[in-house]
Amino acid sequence: MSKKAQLATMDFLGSIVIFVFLIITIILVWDLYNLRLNSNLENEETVFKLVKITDLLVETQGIPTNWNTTNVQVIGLTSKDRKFDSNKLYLFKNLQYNKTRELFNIENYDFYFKITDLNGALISANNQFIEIGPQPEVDNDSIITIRRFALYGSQKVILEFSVWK
Amino acid sequence: MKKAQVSIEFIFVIGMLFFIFLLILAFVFDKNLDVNESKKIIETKSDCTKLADLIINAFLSGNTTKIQSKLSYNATISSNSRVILVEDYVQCTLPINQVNATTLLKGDILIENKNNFIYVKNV
Repeated sequence: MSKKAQLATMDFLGSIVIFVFLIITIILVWDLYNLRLNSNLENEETVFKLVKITDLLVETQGIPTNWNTTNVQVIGLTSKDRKFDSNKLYLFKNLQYNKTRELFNIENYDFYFKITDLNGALISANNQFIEIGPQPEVDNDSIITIRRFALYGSQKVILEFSVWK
Repeated sequence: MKKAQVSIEFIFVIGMLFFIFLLILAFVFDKNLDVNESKKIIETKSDCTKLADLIINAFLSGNTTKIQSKLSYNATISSNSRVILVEDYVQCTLPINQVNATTLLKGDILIENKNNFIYVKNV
C-alpha cells in the first residue's frame, strides 16, 4: 500500500513537471508572437509612411509649386504626374538632410534616396548625381525600401527610398 | 489508519489541482487582456492609417476633391506636429501639414481639398 502511494506521488510530480514545462513553453511562444505582431505593425506603419512620401514625390509638384530650399513646405519632384523636374531634383539634392527628414516627418529614421535608370546607374540633374543620405549598412535588418517608376525627360527611371532606425 | 493516509494524499492532490487550476485561470485571464489590448491597438491603428491615407489622397487628387468616409473611433488631428491621435491611444503621422487641426468624433466625416489645403470635419 505504501509503495502504491509513493508511485502515485511520483507520477503526479512527473505530470506536474511536464505541465509546468508546457506552460512555460506556451508563455514563451506567446511572447514571441506578441513581439512579432508588434514588429509587423511597426513595419507596416513605416511602409505606409514611405508609400505616402513617395506618392508626394512622384505625383505632386510640391508646395509652393515653384518651391526652393528656403520656402518649401511640401516636397514634390515633378513638373507633371510622374515626370521629374530636373530643377526640383537639384533643389531636393541640395536640401539639408535633417530638413528633408523634418519635411517628410520622419525625424526618427535615417533615409537614403536615389534615382537610377533601369540598369541601376545613378541619374544626374545639373551635373549632380541624385543620391541623398548615408547608404544603409548591408546587415541592417530594419531597412525598408520602396521603389517607384517615373519618367525623367523621356527616360524611364527608378526612385528608390530606404529608411531605417 | 490506512484510509486516513489515503484521504490526506487525496486532499493534497485536490489542493494541488486547485492551485494549478488557479494558475491556469490567472494565465488565461492575463493573456485575454493581452489579446483585447492587441485587438484595440490594431483597430485604432487601422482607423488612424485610414484617416491619414484619406487626407493624403485628397491632397494628391487636387483642388475640389471631396471624400466621405466613416471613423470607428474619435480622432484628433494636430497639423503643427503632423500627427493623428486616435482615442488618445494610438498615433500615426502625416507627411504634410496642409490640413486643419480638429477633433473628430466617430461617425461620418468629410475630407475636402480647397486650394491644396485639406479640411476634415464631421458631417
